[in-house]
Amino acid sequence: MDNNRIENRDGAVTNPVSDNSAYKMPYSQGPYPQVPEWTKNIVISDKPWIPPGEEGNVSVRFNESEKAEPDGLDYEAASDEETADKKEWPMWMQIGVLLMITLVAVALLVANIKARTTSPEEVTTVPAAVTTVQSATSVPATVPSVSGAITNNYTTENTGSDKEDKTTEKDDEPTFAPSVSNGQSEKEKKEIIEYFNECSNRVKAEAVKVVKNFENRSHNEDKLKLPSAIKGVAKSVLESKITDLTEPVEYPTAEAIIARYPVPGAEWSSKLTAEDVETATRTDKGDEYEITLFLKTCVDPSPETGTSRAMDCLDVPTVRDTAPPFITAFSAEYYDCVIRCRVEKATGRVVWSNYTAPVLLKLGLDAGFVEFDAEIGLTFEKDYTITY
Amino acid sequence: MEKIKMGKIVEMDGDEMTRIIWQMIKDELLLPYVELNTEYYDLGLPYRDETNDEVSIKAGEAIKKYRVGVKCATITPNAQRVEEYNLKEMWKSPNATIRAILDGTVFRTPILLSGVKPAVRTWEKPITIARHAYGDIYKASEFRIEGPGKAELLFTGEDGRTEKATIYDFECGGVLQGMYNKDSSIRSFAHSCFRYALDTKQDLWFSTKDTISKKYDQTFKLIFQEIFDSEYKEEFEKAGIEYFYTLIDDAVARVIRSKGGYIWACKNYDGDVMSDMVSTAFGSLAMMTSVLVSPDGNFEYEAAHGTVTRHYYRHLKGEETSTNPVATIFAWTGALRKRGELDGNAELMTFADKLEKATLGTIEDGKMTKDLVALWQGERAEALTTAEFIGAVKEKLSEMM
Repeated sequence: MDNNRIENRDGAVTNPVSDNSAYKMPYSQGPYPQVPEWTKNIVISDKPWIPPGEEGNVSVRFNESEKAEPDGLDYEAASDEETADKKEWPMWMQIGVLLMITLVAVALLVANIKARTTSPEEVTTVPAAVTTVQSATSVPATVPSVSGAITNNYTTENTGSDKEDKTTEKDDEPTFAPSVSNGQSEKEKKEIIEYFNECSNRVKAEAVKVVKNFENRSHNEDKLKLPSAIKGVAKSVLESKITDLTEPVEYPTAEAIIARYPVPGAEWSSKLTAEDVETATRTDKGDEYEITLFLKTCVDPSPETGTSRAMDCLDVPTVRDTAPPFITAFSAEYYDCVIRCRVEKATGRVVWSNYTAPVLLKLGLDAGFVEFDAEIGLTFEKDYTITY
Repeated sequence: MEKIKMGKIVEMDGDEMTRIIWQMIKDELLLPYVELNTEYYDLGLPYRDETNDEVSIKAGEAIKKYRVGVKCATITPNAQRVEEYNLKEMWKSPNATIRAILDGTVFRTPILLSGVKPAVRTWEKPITIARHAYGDIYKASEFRIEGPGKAELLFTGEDGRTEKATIYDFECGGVLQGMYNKDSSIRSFAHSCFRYALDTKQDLWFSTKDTISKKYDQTFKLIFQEIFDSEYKEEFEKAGIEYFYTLIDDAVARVIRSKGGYIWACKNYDGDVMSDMVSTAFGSLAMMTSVLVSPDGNFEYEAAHGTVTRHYYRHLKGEETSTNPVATIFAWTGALRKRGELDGNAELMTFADKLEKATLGTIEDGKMTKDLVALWQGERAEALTTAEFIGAVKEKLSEMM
């Protein structure tokens, strides 16, 4: 049994091509295919093809990578002189190239995220005096902070577990948002979601001004998976690049609100269905309702699917299409996402909203002669006040 | 020599060339040594038509009664066959009928020979494919969308409760498909797989794509795990075998680098594709056995191949054919061995072992049917007709008895 197993293989997003250079099948040297009759390349349409003459470039694996397989099934070329030279590159050079690739990948991600969250020509920074008032309004004393709500609910609803444990779950195990409403009926959930959709969609149709009170952006250190040699440097890069936006930003026109309020660019704010939501609660707060929606885990969203039906998510298919060649695989898993808002009972208008979106980005990176997988966990929290 | 006595099994005769071989195997290899105790059902197409396919249902019910059956390959009629046999209607596949009655899972296992090297160089032991032959795309509703519009998924409960989700807002033409499976069927599939793994003392692998299909495939994964944890974990530990779940893409990567020697449980489409891949890579469909196992422990053995129609037409012209009977012989040995196991009949089990050894030994001696000659990598290979091959096996078996 053990001989058949390839230990520690993370199946969730692993690109077989980046994980096993046997798939690239050199013609005349190096690893032999498992099927001896395979003497020519078989091209799988969604995998990168290595053209003849460049096969040797893919044969060196980074031995200290977390993806290095313990069963000795590596596919090194042995006889080709040119390949042998590349194989013997010193470790410092391999680490340097790894680091460079990681930094470029991180920079691209950060640039992508910034481009989605900032638009200088459409926003206005709110004066400090206004900021104070809006911040106070946005998070009333009776309402716990979103991050606090997640932690509290999780520890109370998941016996014997805590958030630390949750982060160590296998990638093929689904992560669900904590349940806050035991025994909630589907009917009740649907009613709340429909009410939320209705109220939320009034923002873009009726609001005269939206203020983004703050945007917290954090790097989840315990989700970071990289070859150990570069993990420390990559961590510090992430910490320096993924920073909060503490200055309030005002969207004073209908166009700006449509462009920036969730879902950016759409003329609506929510098309959530019961399928997208783990639990939904609506609490009576006097003149207002407080609505909390815990969304289900959503892998690789594209526009108007899963979490993208109410939140600002990466369009993964587009990211894949536009990714540079050294990013051989890309996946984004949105988990434990929470939407909270307060709605005026009399008008059905959302006056405050808060969106928290943890995302686990999984990348396959390939520099031609060295390849590895990376995982980066980020959390975005955006907080808005809406005026009509 | 006194013939070996046995408990009753269900015998299901079939069609065309395999029907001819069936009788040859009985006459030459079984009846001289075993007092065959069978309840006979003629599943040949003419009799199925005559009985309005009632005979298939009765055969399935009989397997439930006696727990062991052996079946010859049969024709699943299409329009051409309806005309050829002048059928009253296009009867369902008897395999599907029996599978539905037994609620069983089909396990296909290759028969290995030293002179036929698997296409995958590391495969040393058989890989058994267990296919969940129910639902999914094989029972899907689908249509083509000719222009823009919204596709929605709607479920209406018995109580009138509805659930609706947008599948896609089409901005252009496209295609749409809706498919389903049932918890009860998945549970039966899981039980059959766990039982067969225990029965054959092999590890059980199971694969789906649950990271992408978080409701549909996840249900398969969770049901398997729940049943394993609650009902089979201890038995597996005692037997020294493992249940191993992984993603389908990971499973494919592992299978292609493995040594074999396990059961790989697959969803319907995966099993369809992978059983052809495995049988081809091991050599030939003519060397694949098939057993239908029900969750409550009934077994139906047969060859994985069809009725070998082309050879039958040549046979009708009076020509000798070289049709490979190995999988059909192994269907009989599988059934006899299982009957022996259930009844504690060691003599019958030993006979089944000897017949298999005689069959493989004949081939290892270089005597085989034409299809194997083309694959043979041993020192010498002599192509025999079907009758000659069965005669050679008989000779070897008589030396062993």
